[in-house]
Amino acid sequence: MSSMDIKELISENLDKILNLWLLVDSQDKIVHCSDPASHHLGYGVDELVGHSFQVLLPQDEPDKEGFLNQLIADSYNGTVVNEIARFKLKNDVIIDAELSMHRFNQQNETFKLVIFDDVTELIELRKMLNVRTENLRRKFHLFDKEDIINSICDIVQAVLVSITAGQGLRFNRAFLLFVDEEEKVLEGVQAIGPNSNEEAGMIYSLFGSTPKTLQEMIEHYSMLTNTDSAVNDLVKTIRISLSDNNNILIRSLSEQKYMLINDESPLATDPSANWLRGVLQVHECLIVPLIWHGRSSGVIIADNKMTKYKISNLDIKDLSRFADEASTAIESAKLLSNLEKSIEQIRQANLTIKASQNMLLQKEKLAAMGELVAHMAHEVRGPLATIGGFASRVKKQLEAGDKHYDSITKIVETVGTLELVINDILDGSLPMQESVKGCDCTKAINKVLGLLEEEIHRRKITVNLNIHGDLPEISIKEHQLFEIINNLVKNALEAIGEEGLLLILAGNIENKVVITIQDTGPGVSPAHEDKIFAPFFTTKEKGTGLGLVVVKKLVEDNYGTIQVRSIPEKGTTFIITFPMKKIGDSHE
Amino acid sequence: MSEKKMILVIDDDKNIRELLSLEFEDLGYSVRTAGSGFDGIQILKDKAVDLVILDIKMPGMDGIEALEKIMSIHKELPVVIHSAYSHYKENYLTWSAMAYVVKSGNLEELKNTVQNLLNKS
Repeated sequence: MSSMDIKELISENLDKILNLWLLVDSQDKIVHCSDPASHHLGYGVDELVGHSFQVLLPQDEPDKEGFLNQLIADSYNGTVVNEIARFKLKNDVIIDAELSMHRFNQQNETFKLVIFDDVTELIELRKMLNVRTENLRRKFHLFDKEDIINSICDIVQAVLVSITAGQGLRFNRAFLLFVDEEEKVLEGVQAIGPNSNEEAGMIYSLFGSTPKTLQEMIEHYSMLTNTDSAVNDLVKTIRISLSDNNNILIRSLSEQKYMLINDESPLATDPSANWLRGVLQVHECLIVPLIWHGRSSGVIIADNKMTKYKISNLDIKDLSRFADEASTAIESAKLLSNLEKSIEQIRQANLTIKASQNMLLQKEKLAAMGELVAHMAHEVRGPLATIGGFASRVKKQLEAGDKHYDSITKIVETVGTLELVINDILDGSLPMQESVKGCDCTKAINKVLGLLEEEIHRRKITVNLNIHGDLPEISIKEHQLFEIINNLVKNALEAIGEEGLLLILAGNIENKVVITIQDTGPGVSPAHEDKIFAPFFTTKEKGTGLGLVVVKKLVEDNYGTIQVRSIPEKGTTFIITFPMKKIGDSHE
Repeated sequence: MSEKKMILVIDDDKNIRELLSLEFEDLGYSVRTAGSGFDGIQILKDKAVDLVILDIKMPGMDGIEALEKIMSIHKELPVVIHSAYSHYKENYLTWSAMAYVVKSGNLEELKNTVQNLLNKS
């Protein structure tokens, strides 16, 4: 078979399965090439055939003559797959080509079949995404939140433009859907593509007439399409639960495989595939999952609704490969944005802490000032009392007509005014005492019992403490509640003597905290029960008779009530009741 | 009135002691004074006293401690707290006193309080 025969054989059959290809003989002379290949390189087929393969290599290629032989030397069995090389077009423009080569022998003649893809855009895109991600990282360090959000939008936009641009992946429309891990759904985020054939024509004529860089195209596209375009509205209607395993999009996600849907595909009868075709109103579309670190984070759907071009294997390969790049760029941006959010939260927390610290400092300052003012008031009031008191004495001994009467009256009056000024300052909301916080009865009871533990154990006293559930807080100063309970428990222990039972019950009854303290002491007679809270009444040998007076005053000052029930020879029961603390209740 | 009632003034301020002595003697009472809580308690142990006017802020034994001692000696003895501090009124430790009067150049409140308490007893 001559080389002509091979040319015929190849041109008849190869064009059916390959797009851009060249056939080179043992002297590296081009013996044939496909029409698209010569066209892509800027030549006619006749201009290439018979010329050396070297015409396709750039001037700065170090070893043009040995280029193909070097490839063969690096190859496995004469076959090279997906090698990145640079080709020079007829107009001297350099393109990035992804090159595969296969060497074969035919009638003692060695031929090389070179297949290539123009991956210039892809490589440019990859560089651009890298630059954008890099910019993002840089911006991130400057904590410019808005920039980051814009950058995510930018990256998403760049991804979508790249998929659809004539010099990119050449799809008509592209849809981006993200997984929302919290909501457990896959939902549409953004889409790009013409809404109608008219708009498509406009875009294509604009882009077709003047080849643009990707950056320029993204800017143009942004101007032409707005985010609330029809495709955007369309993609946002898509929202599928991640548990819907019958859905074609969820399957693509979970199986991490692309899905091509058309009439010839096995999916032609799949209900959810047909649902998707219905939503997009196309016969054919391609679903590619976005996978990042083994995790599916979303899908890209692409179609050729306007041109109705068939989606080729090359298209699938390109989009799949591009999806990897896109995933990295998008997920990096998302991660950085989440990180930014966390940092913002930490920053807010820090601000809150600082504010609280300032408030505390302020309160401490005020409290210290309150003490200072009280001290000063004391220091001034004493001498004022002396001045005023003696002046009054003198005044009393003077007649109204005395020449000193007016002078001494002025002294007495001025002292009175000064005292009023001091009262005003002191009453002027100085936080002399700590404000009333919510107070925990359980804590107070346990504190009292803890302090008296030794005493209780020394005698044969059984303590029965019964607290019903969680007691609500009550509005009382902690030391006051302690004083009340301490007084009552001490009284009970004294009443019990050496042996007996102390019963403490606490519970929440009708929004009130009720504390009952009961002893098995001798009790008091009904005649004495009335006097039990009267000052200086005591049945104890050494008592002052003031303990219960103090308890009653403290209880009533805090809006509580106290009752006593006593049975002679059986014991005495004190019942104290406090209203529970209202929310936001903190009177000084 | 067969015998004059006895008022004990316990205050570390000499001027106040002098002033109150003059004023209450004018009103017909006997007045004894002490410059500290400790001296006051000593007098109380030796002499019959009908009422105590007690300052709080004093060096050594302060008024609160003195009040506790007084109560342990004479539970029924009326004590009038007479302090330049108003906020001890909030302190329950002073509540066993019969009255609390803030020091002032105008002695009317103190005089009325003392007279009322002594007329009752």
